[in-house]
Amino acid sequence: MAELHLIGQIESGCGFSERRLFCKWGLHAGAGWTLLAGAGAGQTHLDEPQAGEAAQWGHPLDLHLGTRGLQGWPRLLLEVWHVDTWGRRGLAGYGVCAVPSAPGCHRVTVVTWRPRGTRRQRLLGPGGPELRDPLGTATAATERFRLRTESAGTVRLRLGVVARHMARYGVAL
Amino acid sequence: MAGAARRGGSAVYRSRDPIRNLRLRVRIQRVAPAGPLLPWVPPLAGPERPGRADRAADAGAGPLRVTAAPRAGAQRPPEDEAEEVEVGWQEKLFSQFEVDLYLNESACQTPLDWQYHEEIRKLEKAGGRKNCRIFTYTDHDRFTNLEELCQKVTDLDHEVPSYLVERMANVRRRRQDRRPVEASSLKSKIITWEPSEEFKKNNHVINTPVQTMYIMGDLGPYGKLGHREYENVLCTIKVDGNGVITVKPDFNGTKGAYRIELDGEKREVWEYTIENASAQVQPEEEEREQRVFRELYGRHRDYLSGLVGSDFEMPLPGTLRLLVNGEIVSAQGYEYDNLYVHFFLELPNQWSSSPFQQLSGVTQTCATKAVGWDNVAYFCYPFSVDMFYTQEDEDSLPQWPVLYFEVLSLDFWQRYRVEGYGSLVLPTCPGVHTLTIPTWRPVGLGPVAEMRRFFIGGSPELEDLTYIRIPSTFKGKRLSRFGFRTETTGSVTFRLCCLQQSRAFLENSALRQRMQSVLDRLGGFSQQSSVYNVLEAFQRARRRMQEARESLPQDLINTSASAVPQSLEP
Repeated sequence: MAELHLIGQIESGCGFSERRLFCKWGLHAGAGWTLLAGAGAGQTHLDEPQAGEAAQWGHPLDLHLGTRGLQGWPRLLLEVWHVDTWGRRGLAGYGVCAVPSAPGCHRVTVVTWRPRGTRRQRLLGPGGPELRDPLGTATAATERFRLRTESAGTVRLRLGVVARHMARYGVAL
Repeated sequence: MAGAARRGGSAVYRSRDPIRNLRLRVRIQRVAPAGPLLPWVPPLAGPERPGRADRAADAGAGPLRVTAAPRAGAQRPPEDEAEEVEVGWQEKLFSQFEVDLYLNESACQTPLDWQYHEEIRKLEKAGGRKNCRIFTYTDHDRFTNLEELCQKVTDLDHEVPSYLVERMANVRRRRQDRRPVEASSLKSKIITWEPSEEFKKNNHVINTPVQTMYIMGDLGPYGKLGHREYENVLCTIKVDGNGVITVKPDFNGTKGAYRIELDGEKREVWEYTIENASAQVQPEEEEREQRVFRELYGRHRDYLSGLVGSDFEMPLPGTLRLLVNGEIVSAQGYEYDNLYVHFFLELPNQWSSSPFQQLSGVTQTCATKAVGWDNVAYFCYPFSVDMFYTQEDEDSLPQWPVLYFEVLSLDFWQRYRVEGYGSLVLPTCPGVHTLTIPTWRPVGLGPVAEMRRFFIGGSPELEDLTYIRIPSTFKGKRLSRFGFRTETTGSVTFRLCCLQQSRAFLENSALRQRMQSVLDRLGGFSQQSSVYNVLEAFQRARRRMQEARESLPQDLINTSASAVPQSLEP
């Protein structure tokens, strides 16, 4: 058994066309991986930036994973949502990021996209299309060619990775 | 009390053991009354230096010595009055003043006062206190509150406590009852919209619970005990909830005794030492504790590996496994909107992958947005490739897998255009790599081709994508692209996390050397292993021979051995 610790935070989201944003996240890994400690999914608070355009979340991540193999290396699925002043909720972007394999501290910028709605939807704000199966479409990526998307903003992560016993199984990280 | 020298800084200790085991031994001794001619010791004297103690004693021995005036009926005090007391944590030792005060029932107001009253009466019955000059103030005493409130920071005569001091005074950092975490965390409120006064007191300042204890000395002249103005703080001990013990001043240890010089007319000098008198843990007990911890951690480890499984998938011996967790991040700087990327991996000779492994992919069609000067399409397209490299002969130079890609655009009328071609060789060293690959596209001769591209879409494109690097059909010695015209377009950003796994790393990891290239490692291993195999085979054969020799009947060897000399003897 080799172990992987992932300690970090979802720092901020910027470049979205909306302002009041929150981010849902989840960690997804192959069958050989087990979450030993920590929460595997979560949601940040709703932040409305007053100065600048980045919504600051500072949401902590702390996971301890055990694995039987390298297959199915863990990925973080990020869904950014926005809430407008009337409380209507809409999708702002999907992003996915493989957990960096090298031990150390990484600053990762995850770019996001969202399905492109009709012109009317784009003009009137919330209510654009969402993925039926975000996990399958965003992380597996084999069915992506069916999609028409538009570029959304970026999410900044700070991830510290600590690996244990990987060298014991001849893995060079 | 103003004359008391401030002694040293505080020392911090940490302990995981229960704090009630803490015991201190305090010994106080009057050295000698200092003469009036003795230069005044500045109040910031650190821990006492032995030289100064000698000098003080010398001065005291002079003719100007003034002894304490004895009260009528009391005997002369001994020359060096001394007292030694061992104090437990939060153990209350009453001073003469407190005994006098609490014996009087009318002075008792709080339940604590009454409790002290009872205790003192019990003590009187039992035959008096064991301590005389040394006494303590525990966490519950009023003194502890007052001391913290009236602490002066500057030497200003009329230092007025600030607003914050007053507020903080109400917030004694005591052990507060921690509100139990509610079972259903969903229902518990995160925000207190109307914080109560009590809530503010508890939460607006740091509230690591701290317990305080003061060891005091009543340094009044002999026979005049029980006056508040002669009370001196000998030692302050603070313990917080995390087992951090702050002792001020520190235990004496090897240092000389601390000294207090009184300010009165007689300027008496007192020396005192503080020692840690807690019972030490027996070695076997400590060892047992360590063993219990080890066992606990071992069990936990077993439990975790039981959850996950103890085995780990390994590649075949002599192969290198290359796992790439890649991502097509973005494409920027292209002429048209609605971009998509088509890519595939080419595995050279000696590389293989599982038949289910997908080695190509197409991203979604993404509309760009302006970031700075560029139009950027965010793909965030993850892919994962698992490949194996088997080295057959060591002489050949191995090739690394190559990723070819093309960027295409699709417009409203479903016309598609080639926007760019590019390729990258997968990184040879493990780790995280972010690569931005510039691309180009072929252009036709003359303006007609470009006009066609603009109006009806379509443009010259490569028939074989491997032409981006070395064409697969190429056989000659020189690769010439003369006559092939291209135009620089935008760039595509990739993020690649490369992992390598091989049994060869296992062997070499013991040597802890940073290897330059994978090939060295693999080559070195196969070479080393062949030598090693030969050696091992040789050893095995030799051992078998020895065993065979030993298992032979002894008489057979003896007779054969004896037979030879016999035959030689005559």
